Amino acid sequence: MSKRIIALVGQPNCGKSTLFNAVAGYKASTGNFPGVTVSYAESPVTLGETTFQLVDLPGIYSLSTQEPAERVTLEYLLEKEAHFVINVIDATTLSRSLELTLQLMELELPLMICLNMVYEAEKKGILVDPQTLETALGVPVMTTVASKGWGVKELFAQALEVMDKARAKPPKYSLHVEREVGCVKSLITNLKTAKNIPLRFLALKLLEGDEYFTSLVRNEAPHLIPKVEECLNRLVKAHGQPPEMVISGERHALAMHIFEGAAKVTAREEGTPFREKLDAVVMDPILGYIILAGVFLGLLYLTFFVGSFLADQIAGPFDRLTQLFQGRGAWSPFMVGIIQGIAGGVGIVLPYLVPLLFLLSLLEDIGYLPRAAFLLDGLMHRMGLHGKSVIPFILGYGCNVPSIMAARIIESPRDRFITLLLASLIPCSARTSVILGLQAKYLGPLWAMALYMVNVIVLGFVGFLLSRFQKEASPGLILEIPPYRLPTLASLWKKTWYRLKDFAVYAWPIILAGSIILEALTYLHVDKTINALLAPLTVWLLGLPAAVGVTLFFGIFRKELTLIMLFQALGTFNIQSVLTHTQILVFVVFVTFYIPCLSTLAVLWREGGWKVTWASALLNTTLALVLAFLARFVGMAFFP
Amino acid sequence: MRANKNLCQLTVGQEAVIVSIEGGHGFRNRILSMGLHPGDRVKVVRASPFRGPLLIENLDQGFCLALGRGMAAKVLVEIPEEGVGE
Repeated sequence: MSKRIIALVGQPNCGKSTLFNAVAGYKASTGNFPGVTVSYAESPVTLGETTFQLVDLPGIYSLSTQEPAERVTLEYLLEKEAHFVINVIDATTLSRSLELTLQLMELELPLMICLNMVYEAEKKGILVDPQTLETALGVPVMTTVASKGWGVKELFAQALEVMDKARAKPPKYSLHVEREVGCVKSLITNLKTAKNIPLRFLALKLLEGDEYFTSLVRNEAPHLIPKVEECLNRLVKAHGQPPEMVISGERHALAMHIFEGAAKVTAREEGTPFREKLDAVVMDPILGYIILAGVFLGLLYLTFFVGSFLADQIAGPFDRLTQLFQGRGAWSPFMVGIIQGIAGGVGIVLPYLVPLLFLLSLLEDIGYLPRAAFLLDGLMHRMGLHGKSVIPFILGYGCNVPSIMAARIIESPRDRFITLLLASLIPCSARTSVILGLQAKYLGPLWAMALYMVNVIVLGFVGFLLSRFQKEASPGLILEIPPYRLPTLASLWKKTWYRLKDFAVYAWPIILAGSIILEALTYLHVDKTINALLAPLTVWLLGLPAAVGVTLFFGIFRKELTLIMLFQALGTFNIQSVLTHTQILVFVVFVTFYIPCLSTLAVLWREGGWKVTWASALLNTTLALVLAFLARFVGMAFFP
Repeated sequence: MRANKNLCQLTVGQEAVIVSIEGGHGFRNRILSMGLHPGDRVKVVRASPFRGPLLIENLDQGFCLALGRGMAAKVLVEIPEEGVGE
């Protein structure tokens, strides 16, 4: 028997991914803001003696076909790949969530409800009786607190038991809606389109005026459209409202009715709730921006202090180890390459990576990012973008790859293009390790902060220019602002580890190979050729030693390589003895801006096509040349 | 006395009841699915500077949405009687 598939469906930020990670190990990205899961994650899960495949579908507010996430989920469900669907509901927003549940029931799938965050709901004064909910909906209901792992095993055990029995029956609406549903159903019953889509669901979608489903029917049987429109118009006339308002209103009323029957809402506690007090400060028109700047600078300072402390502890022993093997016969280049490859990972990059990723995870899980988006939306509009772009941007400080993927939450293609292009300019953790490991260490942390500021200004300027080229107005922001959540230390560490694993698995082998190749090239004197080829750029334009040429070449694969190889190419861990302060500044500025690394380019290609990939490579390199050239003069002024 | 306004015209802290949602099919659909319906009581919690979005709380369901001003202007509301003249 082939493996059974269970799919998780729910509204954004309801805890699907947390639930998924609780049983599947850390494989889906989570975060306290809507739209984290943009494509779906899946993993085999073994419970007792049964193994099933668990799928985490993107969070959606409804089963319409407007947004990419909605289309992904709806198509998946319609293709009937899943044997069972678990609808995860955030109990604190039960009545809204039930509107999605009713739509899932219209799909007539085997369905079950997972009522999550029940304690949070109780704190808010919402007491839900799962039994009543179960009776009202006619599908099994289980309660969980996924963040603590409570009820998770029981949920899946129950799911496996009822998966062949529980099938949702579509909800009934008021008489005149039902009459028109019946009318449309009789029209479309013989269509091929209706073979794979439940008839009632399709009829309702047509009555809502859903463009996607209407065009499916139009393609197959154009003569039916006027007849469907007749039904639709009767409905609109009777209600005096546009069609989608009628059906959605019916669902809303039914959801409220079920909610009122199953939940008891007690008055909120006296006094201002914690959330509002904190929001009043964090989202304040003046204090909010000071906090935003403080959070940003604090993030970098803390990363630098923890990172440089750790790096100092590790550098010494590796240095001695390297000296031990230097110049000892033909195999010594390989030994030195291996040691420096490992040292580069452990001693130079990792110390900065760990605190940075940990702090970013903390910011994400607490729920700060949507609030930053709220504050920055007005400013972003002047750049021709909107606040949602802030989320990919902030994620970009960790790594550009997930940040470029997060740009999917931006609906308009125009905004997405600009966001993708700008996201690749954000100094990711690899570039941060170069900035902190060189600039902050040798020139002082203020120089590093200044570089981040210059980067933000450049982003604003480029965004402003790009939006002039694309005149179309940017649509406004709609973003849910979730409650604050205090993540557990364990979940933060797991998330940090999940991202570090990416470094260990993909980056380290490249760094190791790169180090060995560099040693071999030096041994064979090939590095001189590369350096000579790059000399017009490095020596003439930027005033750097020719030896850095080869590091810039390797940096295209991974940005960390530039730092690690710089030590290697110059033959010392004491950079100050071989590079002047100006040269360090120029080198770091160039590395911060020049061509995005291969993984970033690959994901840009996948997400945005060749146009944005080329635009990004060209833009970044041009900026790097101009800014690094200017940095020469800044250096001359400050370090005579 | 009842006043018909849109969300943008409310002052911060003011409560109102949604009457209808203007705009195209797609826009209405999104607003509805994110949980703002005619009949819902809402409150403007705060406004973001630089003509940024409004923070709207749905008092019936207890969640907050950031809504750009252009969009908020398409959500028509009426102010309950006791709320007028404050």
